[in-house]
Amino acid sequence: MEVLQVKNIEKTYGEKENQVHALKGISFSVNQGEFIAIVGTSGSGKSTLLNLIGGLDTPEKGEIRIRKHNLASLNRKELTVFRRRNIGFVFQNYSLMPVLNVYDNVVLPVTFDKGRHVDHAYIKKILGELGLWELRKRFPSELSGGQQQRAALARALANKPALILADEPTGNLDSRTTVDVMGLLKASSEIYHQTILMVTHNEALAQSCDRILRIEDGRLYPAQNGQEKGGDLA
Amino acid sequence: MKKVVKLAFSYLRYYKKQTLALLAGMILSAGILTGIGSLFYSGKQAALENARVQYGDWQYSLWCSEPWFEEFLSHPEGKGFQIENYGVKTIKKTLEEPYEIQLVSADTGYLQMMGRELLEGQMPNSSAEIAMDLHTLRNLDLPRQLGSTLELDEQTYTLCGILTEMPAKLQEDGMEIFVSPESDYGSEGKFLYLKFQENGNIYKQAAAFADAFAADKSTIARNNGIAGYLGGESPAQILETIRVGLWEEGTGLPYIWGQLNEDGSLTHKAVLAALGLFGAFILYSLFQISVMKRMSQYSLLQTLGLTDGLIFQVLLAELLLLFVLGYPLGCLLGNGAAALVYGRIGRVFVTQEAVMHTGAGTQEQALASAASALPDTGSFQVDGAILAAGAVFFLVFLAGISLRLVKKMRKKTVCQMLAGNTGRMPRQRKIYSLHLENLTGVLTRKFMFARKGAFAGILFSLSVGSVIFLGAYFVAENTKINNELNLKADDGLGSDIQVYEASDELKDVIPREDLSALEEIRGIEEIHPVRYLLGEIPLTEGKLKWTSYFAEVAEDETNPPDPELMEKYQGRIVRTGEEDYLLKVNVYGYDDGMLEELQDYLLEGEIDPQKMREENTVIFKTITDGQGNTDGIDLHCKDSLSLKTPRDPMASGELLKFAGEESQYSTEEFSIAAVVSRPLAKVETYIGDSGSTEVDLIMTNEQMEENFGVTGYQTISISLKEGADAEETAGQIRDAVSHISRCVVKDYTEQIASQNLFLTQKMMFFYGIALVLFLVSLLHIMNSMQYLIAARKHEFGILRAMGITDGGFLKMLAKEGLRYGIYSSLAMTVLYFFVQKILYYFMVHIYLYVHPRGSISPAPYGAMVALNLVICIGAVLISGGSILREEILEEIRE
Repeated sequence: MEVLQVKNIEKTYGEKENQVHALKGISFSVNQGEFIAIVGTSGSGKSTLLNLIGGLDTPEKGEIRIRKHNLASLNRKELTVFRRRNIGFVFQNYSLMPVLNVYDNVVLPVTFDKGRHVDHAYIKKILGELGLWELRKRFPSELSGGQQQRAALARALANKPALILADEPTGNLDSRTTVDVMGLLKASSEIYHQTILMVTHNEALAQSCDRILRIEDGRLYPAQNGQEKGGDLA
Repeated sequence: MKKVVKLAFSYLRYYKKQTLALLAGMILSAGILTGIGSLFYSGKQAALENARVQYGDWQYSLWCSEPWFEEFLSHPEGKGFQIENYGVKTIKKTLEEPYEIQLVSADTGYLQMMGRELLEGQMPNSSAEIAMDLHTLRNLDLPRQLGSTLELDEQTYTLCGILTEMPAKLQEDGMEIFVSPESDYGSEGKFLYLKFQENGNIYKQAAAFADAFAADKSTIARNNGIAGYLGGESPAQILETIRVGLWEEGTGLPYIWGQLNEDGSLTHKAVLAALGLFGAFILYSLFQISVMKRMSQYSLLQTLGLTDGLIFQVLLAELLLLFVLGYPLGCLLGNGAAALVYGRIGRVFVTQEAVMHTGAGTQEQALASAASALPDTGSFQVDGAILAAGAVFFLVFLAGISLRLVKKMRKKTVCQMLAGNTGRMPRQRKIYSLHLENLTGVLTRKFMFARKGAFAGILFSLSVGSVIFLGAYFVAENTKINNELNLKADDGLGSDIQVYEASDELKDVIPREDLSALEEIRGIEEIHPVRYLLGEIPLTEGKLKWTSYFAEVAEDETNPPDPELMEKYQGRIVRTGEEDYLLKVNVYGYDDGMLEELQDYLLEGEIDPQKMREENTVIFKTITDGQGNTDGIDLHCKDSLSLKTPRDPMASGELLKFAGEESQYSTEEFSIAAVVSRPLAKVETYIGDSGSTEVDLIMTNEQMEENFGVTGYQTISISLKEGADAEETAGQIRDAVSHISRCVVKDYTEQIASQNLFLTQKMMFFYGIALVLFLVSLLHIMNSMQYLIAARKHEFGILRAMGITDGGFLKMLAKEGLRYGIYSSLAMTVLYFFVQKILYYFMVHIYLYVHPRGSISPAPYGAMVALNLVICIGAVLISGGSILREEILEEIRE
């Protein structure tokens, strides 16, 4: 089942002579449960693409559909609510609320929905599987980088979203913790049948994903190392 | 250095909002400080000029029949002093009858200093000629005609000149008649009057003068009326005042303040210091926020090798650049506004007591006093000293700010490192989402309390403006009450017109029958007649607690009793035993309306005229000391006292000394129904009644008649109907009482109108300043809130990315604003509680306010709480709005 459809996306920054085409005619689709890596050099447009999919930015042209909902047709409030319910974010700098403990950080997006009660059993399960249950009362500043990123991943999973967008999730981590976090992402994808789009510039990490989307100069290219990784281009 | 200034300038240009906030803070702080400083200075200068007219334009005088006088005349200069003017008065003879008169000759210097100008004729040239002023002419019953003759001390003189009157305050010492320098009556005394240059401390100059000519310092007399304005107080005297205030029982701060603040300069200095500190606090807070916002940049500069010293220079350069622009602009605006204010309500700033009720005189004098009771304001003058002092203060302060911020930066880095390593911050580990559906409330609370020091600082700054406003309102409210009560009690201005007997003979009264004639005059709203009798009460077995209060029994050589009172009445008090005294008291009969108004001055008991008549009880008006205390006499409600009065209600002369045969007096026991602090209508002849230093017994007019047979009235207070023609009504009253001997009618309507206008202006100024200070606080609050919100941009970005809607976000901020409003209102209440206590203490014990309210009325307090809530919510929402306009990604990357 298709979770995400991206059609002919174009994005530019700046004006006149300073204009930069960040993305040019990007199209692809993603199926439920896929773990996709978006790779490219610095400034290639991979983070821009992720932000457009996450509804944090808007394209000049093209269409993005998540679970058949066209993001462009949603107003500001609808988009916010849609993002809350359908998209989970994992940032490179973890972006946890420093004043909340791990448990409350994870639950936070769920509490924004009025009348929607927190499924504490599910939260306990996630925290347990991510190895955070014992640390649930700790504050972000009391955790290691890897633990913080696991908490961020738990938060992304808390809402059972259609899509998890991870922007360089291991960028701040050492190699051992990186392997650890990648393992968890992969496991999440498999256990919860979770669709994950991960931006990385680490080719080795990308190889462990189901599919690789390579972006260079704002254009999408098939992966060079095998049809099986990039062959699903629309 | 050039690079430092360039970098500082770049920061100022880049952070425009912060720069403008700081510049506005600088302009307002400088404007308020220097503007109000100049207003005080202008008032002080005007008061000094007024004092010159009232006391004469001289600072010291000394007996000069000493050998040094010739030396002085030949070389009137020396080291350490500069004489601007001097004059010599020679007293040729002093007469006791018919008045206290000095026959004097004087040089032009003396005449100039005393403002004596020849109106007609010339100064005396021969021993048979005299010159005098109109006041003396009138008193000696001499026609205003040159060539008139006068017999004085068995010698005949011819009037050769008429002069302007002597300074008003010196008239109390007697009259002056000028005679020729050649006149010789056998003995004479010469007095030198000195005026030193006023640009230096005149006390030091006087000391240097005495040293230079070896003059006896103990013979030097100070012109107290003006010396206080010019630094005429000796340092030893100031130290002695402080010593007495600290160590002597019953003195304390009120004594020190009262002694050193005679011309109000200490109050002015305290106000200016408070304004300076307020401005400094605002500037510090604004700049701190500005620096905190770019702390990371300074850290980066440090990483690149910039030393703490260079960062200090950059910070200082930023502030100095703003100072160079802001301070002069602030001075210009502040003094410009002050000049406008002074032009309209300058009298508010002139520290001069306006004595309204002279107790005797004519209608013309009353009208003249209406015009002169309020001081001349002169022109507005910029106070160069406060401009310079303000500049120095701010410069030093700005350097201090820069230094402190650099230190703070260094400390912060260390602290952050420590926190990162140990994580020792104590935190509650409760999981809120187990019990709460919405975590935004928890978030705002946690954000607020994350840094308790910063939170306390913000609350303090939020509440300071409100506290200043409430304090100003509290003082203004009580000043209004005090002024109204003082007008009523001290100056007789509670009534529009007063009719009274200018006599100290009990037989001189306004007969009861004439009251009905007055009642028929159209234009009169109310008439309050007052009966009077002099009496005596015993204060035995230590009932008089302040044994040194009355000069008659204090045995203090520096404070002798009034000789006139001693001669006429044997003084106000006589000691009869170790702890026993006999005290003369004014006995008044009031009507029910006046007794009702006396409620404002009630200390204990109740005032019920009907009950007083039935039970024949009295109201005891006690004495008040210089610090507002009223426990000098141990007589209270329900205590009884025996009152001795002359049997004949028209007794006079020796009988009023209460030393005649007992059969000529009657004694009655009275129970005290109430104790009050002030009387209303007063009779100032007899033993006098200043309102606070004499004891009065007050009863109903009916009791006065039944107990003592007093039927006539000593004073009648009259209030006019709205819109009645005061002049015409006063004329009709005058006609109605013209047949009564020594009966004077005084129209106070002009004085009341000018006093009311004066008080309104004073209140408006109070509120105006409070409002300006509040606006400065508002600028600061907006800036603080903006910083508070901006500092959490990253967290807010996360929340937005996690899916909080704009409405939800603003609701969350509104909750935070509400919390700040509640907490700042609580902080305001606590702070204000202490401020109110201090202000109340000053009002009661130092400024001797009559019956001030102990707390502020609920309306302004409630308004300030509401305003606090509105401001906090508004400020947070405005700042939050800018967060919503920014990109989520930008915020997350912060």
